[in-house]
Amino acid sequence: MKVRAAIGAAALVLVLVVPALGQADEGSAIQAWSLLRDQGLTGTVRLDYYRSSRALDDQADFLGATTQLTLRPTFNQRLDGRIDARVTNPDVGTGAETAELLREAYLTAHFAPIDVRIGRQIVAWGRADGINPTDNLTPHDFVVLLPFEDDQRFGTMALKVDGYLTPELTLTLFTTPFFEPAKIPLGDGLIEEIPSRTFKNTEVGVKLNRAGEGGDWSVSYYRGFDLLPDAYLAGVGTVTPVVALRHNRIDVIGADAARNLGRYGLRAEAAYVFTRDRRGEDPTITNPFAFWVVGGDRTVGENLNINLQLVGRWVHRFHDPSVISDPTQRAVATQNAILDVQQDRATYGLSSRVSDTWFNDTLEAEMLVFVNFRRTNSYIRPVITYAFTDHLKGTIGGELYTGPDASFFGRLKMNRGPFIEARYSF
Amino acid sequence: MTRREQTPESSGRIVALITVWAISVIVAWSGHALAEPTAREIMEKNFFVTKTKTLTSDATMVLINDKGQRRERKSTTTSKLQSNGVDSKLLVKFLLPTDIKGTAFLQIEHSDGEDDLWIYLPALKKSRRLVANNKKDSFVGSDFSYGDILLPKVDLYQHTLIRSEVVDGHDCYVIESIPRDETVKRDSGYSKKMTWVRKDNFLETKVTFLDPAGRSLKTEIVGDHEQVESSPDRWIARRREMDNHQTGHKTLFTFDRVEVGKPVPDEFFTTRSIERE
Repeated sequence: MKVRAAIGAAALVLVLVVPALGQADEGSAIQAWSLLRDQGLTGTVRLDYYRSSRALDDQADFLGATTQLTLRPTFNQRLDGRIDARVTNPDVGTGAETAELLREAYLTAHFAPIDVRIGRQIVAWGRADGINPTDNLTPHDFVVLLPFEDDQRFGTMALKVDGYLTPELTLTLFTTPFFEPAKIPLGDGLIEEIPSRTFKNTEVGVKLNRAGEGGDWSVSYYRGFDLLPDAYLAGVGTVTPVVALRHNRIDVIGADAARNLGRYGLRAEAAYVFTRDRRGEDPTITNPFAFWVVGGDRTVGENLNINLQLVGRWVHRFHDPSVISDPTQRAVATQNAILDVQQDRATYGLSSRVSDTWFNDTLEAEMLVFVNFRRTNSYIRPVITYAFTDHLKGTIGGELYTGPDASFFGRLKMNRGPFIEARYSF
Repeated sequence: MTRREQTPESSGRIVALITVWAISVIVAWSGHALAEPTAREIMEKNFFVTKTKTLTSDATMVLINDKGQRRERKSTTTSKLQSNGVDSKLLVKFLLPTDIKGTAFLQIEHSDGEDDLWIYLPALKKSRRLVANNKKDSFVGSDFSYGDILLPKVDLYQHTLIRSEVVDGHDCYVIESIPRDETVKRDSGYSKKMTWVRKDNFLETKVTFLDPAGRSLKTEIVGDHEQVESSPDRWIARRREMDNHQTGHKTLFTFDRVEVGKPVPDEFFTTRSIERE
């Protein structure tokens, strides 16, 4: 019954989102469809089963339907754009709310020395694999029940200018007054304060990037708000204290580099994050910290790729939250420290991504493992995808979190479970 | 001062010497003209005959498995020969299938070192440096390896001219190529190649490949030869079919559109171009 409902919902969404198909005249509908295809229209219809939500609740067995459409209009040689919209119902047939998300909608003007992009856009910085200390500009949705890492990304309304100083050297300026936070699992009754959209709150990013023969590198600076919130005591209610979340200002200086040595691809990325708690005395604000990733990958045999990275964080002016005497303050500070990986002055971890393909790339498998050595906790994510045809793919995988409850991955244990996806692309 | 008279005997000797010299020159010249080029010379001409200054093309690659199921990849490719006349810069963008539309590769060849290679994945929103592929690796899941598409340097193999043979009405040299050493053998994935090279244009019409264990691995049939430049003489094959005898899988590669000689600035071969979907 659920499957039928999901298929029906997906088909309905598809028809609603493509008004061209709703034309009464079949000829004009075909013409409109052809016009959209000429403008680079592609899309996917997906059915997903998740054993667990990602919202740290006790909910189980989600059967979701998603339609995503991408349009890439080209107006002329100098002007093009992109619209990427997604409609998702995470649990069809149960009254779950359907979420519409405009992931991107922008125009790009191309001139000889610069590209100017304005609109809702995803900007991804950093050369490390999956863990990027310099990637602080646009948010992730850590709650959405879709299996791939890029499904979590969505854009912010912003202006980005890429100036091409030489063929290899690019200076990027990014600015937005429209801060959008990451979507994370929130506990019941928590209020999240979003910085007001004012000129004073305008965020700015600058990056000098080199990509060319021999090696790639970049240096960057970002001044804006932390995509992840910090908890603080907003007041005292009738029975319990009122805890709220807010996004504090940060300044980030960063750098990354990538080059090949023989058959090894080496990458490094590091950032130092200045927060508003420069002395490390306010437990409701993240302490200043350094965050780095260094590693590389190598392909063994034909397609087996092994990617290993060491990840480290070092907290400047560290104060142990567990020594705070007030129990309420201690609880809030501890939750912040877990979320920000600041329970210890220094933490180290290892990320490993091993992937392979078989049968002319029709079968792909990947195992992602991230282990934090301090307070041993880990995230394990095996995924297998099979392409039945060019249009139809099936994916099966799972997410496993281990570790003590008071650790970064350990607190997510409620979210563990398998998932399955059928994906039709057109 | 007395002038020595030329006797009939001395005149005859000179005529005889000139005649002998002339005959030996003619014989030497004609002998040179009639001699077959060496196997290395043939493979060198084969290596260079497809090296156009620039090439812009639309191509279709059809992958067919042993059950006859077909998958299709469409791409646009722009390449430019570097100033050394050997290495190329190559930019490939995929148009189909739709779930990889916008994916692009940029490769800067370095015959004296490792190539520079980047990939742009629209989903990740950034280009990423990759380790240059092993020559034996499959090109995007097809039966062509990277080494089949960007030919390795001629001297990495020892070439022997085996015989001449007519294939599809074209007189061909049949060249046996053996990897120069174990490293080349391991990197290429082949222990032997046999190449049928057309005598009139030096483009291959057929290639057979043996795997490192000496077993029959693949056969490539190359057709629809087309001259695209005359000075120097440059040809392309519009159609290539690669059959893998061990898996039953095959790949059909066709150029749908080819444009040669169109000026392409060096700035085109940068990550800016692959990031422009």
